[in-house]
Amino acid sequence: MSKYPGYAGYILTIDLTTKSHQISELPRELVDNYLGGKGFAAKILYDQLPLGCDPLSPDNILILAGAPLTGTLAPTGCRTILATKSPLTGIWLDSNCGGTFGPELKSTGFDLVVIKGRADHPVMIVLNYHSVEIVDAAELWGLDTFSASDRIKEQFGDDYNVAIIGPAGEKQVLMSAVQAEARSFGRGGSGAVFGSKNLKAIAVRGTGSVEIADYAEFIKENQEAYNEIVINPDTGGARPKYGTSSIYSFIKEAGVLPIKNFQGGDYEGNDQTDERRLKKELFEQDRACFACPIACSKYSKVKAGPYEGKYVEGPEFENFWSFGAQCGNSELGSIAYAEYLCDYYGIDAISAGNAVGFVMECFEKGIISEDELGFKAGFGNHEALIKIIQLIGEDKDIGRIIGQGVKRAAEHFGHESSNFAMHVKGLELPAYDPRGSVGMGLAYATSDRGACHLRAWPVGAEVLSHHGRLDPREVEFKAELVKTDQDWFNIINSLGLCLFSIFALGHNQITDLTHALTGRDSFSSAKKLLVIGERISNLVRLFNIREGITTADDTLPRRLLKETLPSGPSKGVTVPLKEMLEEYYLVRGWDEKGVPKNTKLEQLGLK
Amino acid sequence: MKVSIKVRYFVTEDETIGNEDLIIETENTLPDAIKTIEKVTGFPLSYKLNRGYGMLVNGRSYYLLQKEGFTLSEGDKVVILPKLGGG
Amino acid sequence: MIKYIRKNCTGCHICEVICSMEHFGKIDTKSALISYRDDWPQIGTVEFCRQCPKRSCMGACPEDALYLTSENLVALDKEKCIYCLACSDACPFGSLPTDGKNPLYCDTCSGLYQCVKWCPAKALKKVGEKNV
Repeated sequence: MSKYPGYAGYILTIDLTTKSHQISELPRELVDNYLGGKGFAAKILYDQLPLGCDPLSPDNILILAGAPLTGTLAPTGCRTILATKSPLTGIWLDSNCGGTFGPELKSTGFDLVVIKGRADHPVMIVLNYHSVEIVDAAELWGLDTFSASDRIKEQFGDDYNVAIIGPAGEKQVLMSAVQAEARSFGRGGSGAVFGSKNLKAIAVRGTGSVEIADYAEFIKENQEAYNEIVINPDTGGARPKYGTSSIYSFIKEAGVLPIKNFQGGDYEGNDQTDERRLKKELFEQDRACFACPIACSKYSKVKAGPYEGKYVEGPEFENFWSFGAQCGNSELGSIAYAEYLCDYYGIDAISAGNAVGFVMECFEKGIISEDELGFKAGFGNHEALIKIIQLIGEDKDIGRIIGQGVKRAAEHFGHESSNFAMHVKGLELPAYDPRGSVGMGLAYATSDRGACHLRAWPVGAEVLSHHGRLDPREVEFKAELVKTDQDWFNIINSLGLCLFSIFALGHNQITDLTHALTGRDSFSSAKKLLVIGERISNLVRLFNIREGITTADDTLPRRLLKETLPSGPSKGVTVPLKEMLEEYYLVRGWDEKGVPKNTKLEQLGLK
Repeated sequence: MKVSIKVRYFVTEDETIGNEDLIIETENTLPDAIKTIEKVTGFPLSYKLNRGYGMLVNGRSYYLLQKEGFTLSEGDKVVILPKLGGG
Repeated sequence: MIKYIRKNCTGCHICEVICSMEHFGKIDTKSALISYRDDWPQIGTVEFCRQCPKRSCMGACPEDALYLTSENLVALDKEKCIYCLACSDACPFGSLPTDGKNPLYCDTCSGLYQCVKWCPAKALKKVGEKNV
């Protein structure tokens, strides 16, 4: 049995400047105190990243962090973390990708790949089992992610998995992403960090294995876990059927779906647009990530209309919104094509759609003219949507401005457009209007990477309000709810599971799976794991404070604090953030400035 | 007082019970509406509401409305769905 | 034999995971006797020996390296194998998985059929009895 069942056991550090690398053993304290994935990345980045570094300089560090349940039988055990300092927000970034890349990376025998420096010409990293090659990538530079990926597989073998940037990352567009086998390390501009290091791709193919500490127990826990997932009406019903858009009708009905850059109101085709239409008109086949029994991913094809023939792995809920309701657009074919283009160029589809909606509002308010754009761009104009995505990918014209994020674009456009640039800390808001679910407003304001729906998700609990305990308009209990989600989601992101697993699996089940695989006493109870989750929350907070975050940044766009929706169940609501934030700092053990107190840090072993 | 309400099932029962809004006539209190919906659709609604299902009326939770002494009006929209996670 | 129903398959690789666990006590998908091959943007196929009655592989082997076990399952004598993959080419269901040195033949997990049991999409099905 290896030293760490569940883990590969090694850290790879690559210096692109000198084209050298080092392999070291995984330290025990890192495993026991930080678990894996996000936890590993937080510790390494906090310890090693030079303070205040320019995210697009050779000083920035890029981390790929695997996790114990990744690449095992554990249901949804497929994920890997990419962490770095974000060029879009200037603070902590961790991004998470599904599909098959994570398991394949683990099979090369590394739990962590730490990339430093900058190559002096375009390169690609090729990893096999404990073997590292830095290969010239001049012929790939300039290619879209699909073509480049295909070329790499033609050269090295079609069983390779490739994490790759497209033209957007190469041009260091701040909302560019890293694609990996048609899935994405989407948010925060990781593509630009790759581009700034002249790193086109990381191609992996390994032969390593993953050991299991308690085989019989691991089998038993998995049998139960798979069963729970299958009988659950969400993971075993709604999600396989409609993909991630299974919540679309619910979110719309509850007044939580943002319309036209969070202005609310209506748009043509809104009534007829929901997950049923998506399934009927686009979905063709179901696709699962590695080890996943849910299979929420879909292969879609546009069968009629102006975008006939376009295909995509998707559309996902976030993009159904960002290219749909956010842009007042009900042309489904254009939504599929826009998502495909984001894969093609390597762009964050949430930020892109949010940004297009922002441009559309600026256009309708006369802040940007048709002359300046070269075309009309009102809400509902799907040709404008496609054009703007292409220009973001090519870093041209309006794309050059808006591709840097709505925060910078608003500074550029002026005319108080900052009042409706929908971002927190520079990261664009995703598909939930917190005036319909105020706890989500707290989640956005306190998320460690900027406005994010994957750090805490109180929406379902607030809106359905079982036994009337929570009210989507009230502040009560929200601080505790958001803190618990954040700590537990850190664990999920440190284990390599997909967040969707938690809709069916409880804390104890996930703990038992982890303990059976690793055999480690540090993971023998949910309570112990929650401490690790809380430790990660606090360490990342310290990182952000070091990089200049203050309580003034734990805020929301003015529109959500001062403007109300004109209609629907959330009519008349503004987000009561101040009260929730005060209570949040309290339950976190932070002072009134949002700085972790010494008592809390000592408790977590961070002092 | 009798009212006509629209009832829709989201995601899991949307094909078995019906894809479009059902128009149902009921007495205007929430408990009455639940009983009527159960009778019309054969779906064990009160049982399910205690076991992971939720119900919204005009987008607001049935549990909150019950606490607020809500009564139904003509044309109100009821949706019934299982507990769902984010996307 | 085992039937693969491609229209149910979601490309999740769980068959590979459980196969390697059953045979080696750990997760080692590259050594599994079953292998999913992708064909983005559609589902690809799963390679494995169906233990079919036709047994075209046996006739195709130039080294006589394939034999029938006492349970009437096709198996490979690795000593005789020259890795020419004529058996894989002859397979009517596609190709066989390999570990880079030999083609790999499903042994039904000694009658446990773990991949069939664990496939969440019901894309693998046990049909008929073991070959006679």
